[in-house]
Amino acid sequence: MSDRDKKADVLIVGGGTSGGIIAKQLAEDGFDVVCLERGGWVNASELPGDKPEFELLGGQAWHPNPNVRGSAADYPIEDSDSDVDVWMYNGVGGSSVLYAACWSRFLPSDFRVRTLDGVADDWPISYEELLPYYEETDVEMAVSGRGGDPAYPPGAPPPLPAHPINKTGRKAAEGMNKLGWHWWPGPVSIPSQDYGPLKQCARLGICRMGCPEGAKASTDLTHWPLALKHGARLITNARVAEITVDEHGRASGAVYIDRDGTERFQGASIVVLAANGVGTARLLLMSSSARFPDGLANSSGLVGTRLMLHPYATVTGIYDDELEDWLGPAGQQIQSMQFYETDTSRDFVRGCKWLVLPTGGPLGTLARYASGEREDREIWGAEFHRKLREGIGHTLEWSIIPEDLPDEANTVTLDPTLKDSDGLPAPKITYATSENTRRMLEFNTARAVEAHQASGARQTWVSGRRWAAGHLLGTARMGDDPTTSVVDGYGRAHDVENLFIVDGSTFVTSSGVNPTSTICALARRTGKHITAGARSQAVAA
Amino acid sequence: MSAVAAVRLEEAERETLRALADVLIPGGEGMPSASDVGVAGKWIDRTLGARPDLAAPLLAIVRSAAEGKDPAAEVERARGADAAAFELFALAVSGAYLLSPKAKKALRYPGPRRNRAYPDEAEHYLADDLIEPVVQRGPIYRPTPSSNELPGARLP
Ligand SMILES: Cc1cc2nc3c(=O)[nH]c(=O)nc-3n(C[C@H](O)[C@H](O)[C@H](O)COP(=O)(O)OP(=O)(O)OC[C@H]3O[C@@H](n4cnc5c(N)ncnc54)[C@H](O)[C@@H]3O)c2cc1C
Repeated sequence: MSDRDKKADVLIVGGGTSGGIIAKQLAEDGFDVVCLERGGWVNASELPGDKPEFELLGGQAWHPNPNVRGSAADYPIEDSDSDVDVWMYNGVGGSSVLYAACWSRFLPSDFRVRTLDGVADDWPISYEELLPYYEETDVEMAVSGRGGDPAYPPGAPPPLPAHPINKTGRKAAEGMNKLGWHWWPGPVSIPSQDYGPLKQCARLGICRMGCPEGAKASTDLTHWPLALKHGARLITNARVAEITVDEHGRASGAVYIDRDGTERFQGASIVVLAANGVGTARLLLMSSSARFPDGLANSSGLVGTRLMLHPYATVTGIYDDELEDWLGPAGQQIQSMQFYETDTSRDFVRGCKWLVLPTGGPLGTLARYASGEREDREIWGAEFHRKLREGIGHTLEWSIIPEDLPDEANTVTLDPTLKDSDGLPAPKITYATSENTRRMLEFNTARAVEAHQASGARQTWVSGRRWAAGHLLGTARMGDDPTTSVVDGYGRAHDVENLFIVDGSTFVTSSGVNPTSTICALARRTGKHITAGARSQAVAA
Repeated sequence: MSAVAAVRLEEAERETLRALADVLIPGGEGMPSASDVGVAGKWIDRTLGARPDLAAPLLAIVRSAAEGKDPAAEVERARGADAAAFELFALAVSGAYLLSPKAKKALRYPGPRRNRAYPDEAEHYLADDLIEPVVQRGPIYRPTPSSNELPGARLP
């Protein structure tokens, strides 16, 4: 048997964000780890952010929507029944390659929405249980921020000092202060100083196209090199088609298609899925068998359901002041939790996080005028220069992330006709924004208009609603009851005792914050649990 | 990736593009027009190098523009006939225009450039106790049944 085919202690499917976190930790703890990743390594010199064409390239070859990008590593997504696009990146580092690195934790109440608000479900774990893992992954992900945010309980400050909030953050904060509303410098997983393998942020402001400086914590930089150093094997261009099970119903490994199109098998004692909220559900559904006719680990029937996507809104303000609104990190300058919690006087439950990000380049400025909720949307002819001059350097934008609650009608299923380049079924997304989320966005966008006015904006409008966030959550939820959840509080499948899930699929509710800090903390907690239980862990025959 | 465009426009096509582009981006108020910055020359080539997908919609509108007709009328016609195709054409034109350093300079838009923060810059933006009112209002998080488990917890 070649080394390549040797059975591993742990097989990880997906070399992305959560896959990187757990691979490094298990390799450091002495496990023989193999990871199968469908894409390849990112070559920093190919990233568009430091090139004059950055906006054009970011609109196609580096677009966050795999259907637009259509690269060899991507699989198509049938999204005609979804009112939000699905964004992700397929390759080493996963979606952390393209994320904006806004690094916000859940609030304690997020784990207790049933108890506090009577909606959805409580999580089987609490904020306090997750706190040590939040703090450890903050260190691993070069989090820069200011300690003491009164929106959060006490805890260790981020390992690196906060970035400047820039002129945009200050202008926004002035308005929030007038209104008496909460704001705080926004934590980001972007180093404000040189930090391990990462360089100090150069504030190019193009984080969502990948960082050509190597100044953003994506796991291809922060975790995979260390995992490999500790002996992990990362097989790229390996598309997993099925998780196999032995005669006892335990996971035994995975069938995958290698870069030459050859079908191969990788055996393992423990299997960890880290293929994201769409890819993991797809793989479980593709792994049906006589024993698991509805898909692997799916006796609850919940695999692929309760998809949450955070359809977010933006509210733009135009100011007379010179704001240098292109300056990074992008990355958030400030965030606000003022409207995060349920207020029974409103016509919706739960709430939103607000954040100020840089506004990007001139093509983005034009798009804000052309597609926003405003009467005058003409951008050609004489309006071209007028709007660009008015907008460039003078724009401040609030982004608003709504907590969309789980709904079993929002799903990832296998499309009956659309296939990927290996002939495997593409995922189909069915997603409708709920009435509660619409009302939440209505209320919050109206407040953001007020915030702009308080900051002195001379024009303000809603420049978008239901944007894709790339937050893919909830399709294999955790819980204590095997009839109403897919995995337990440690991410272990109720139906398959040596199968774990560590990506965003395990989320019980979505919270109203960017999810990756919580995804990473959960992945590390699962990894530590695997290490602690290694001796008693039942494995495949 | 500033590759040479796979599709190269003929001279006559560039001529038509020049006229149509000036309808979308005329000069004035201190701003150069599309033809002033040479959109139909190397900037459109670089745009199509970055975005080969824009070549077909661009060429379709350029080739359908009737020779000798008023460019403004041709742009209007193309826009009315297929708004989505027109958007792609217009994106190629504006994308090419905004690649030109002359246009960026006139707009006072520097583009992404390295600009590391200096050590005290974070505090500079928080001057005049900007953050103080937020701190003074104290904790605002909503306690849960386990909230007092944390050392130092000061419940809102
Ligand atoms: C543009 C953008 C901006 C974002 N901004 C933020 C932000 O500011 N803050 C924040 O918290 N979050 C943000 N997100 C979301 C964040 O990127 C994700 O939450 C996070 O990266 C998801 O991690 P994951 O481990 O669940 O999945 P991923 O990182 O997506 O990893 C999944 C991996 O599995 C691989 N894979 C899938 N299927 C298979 C298969 N069958 N075989 C082999 N490999 C497979 C994929 O190639 C991929 O590498 C953003 C996302 C995008 C796209």
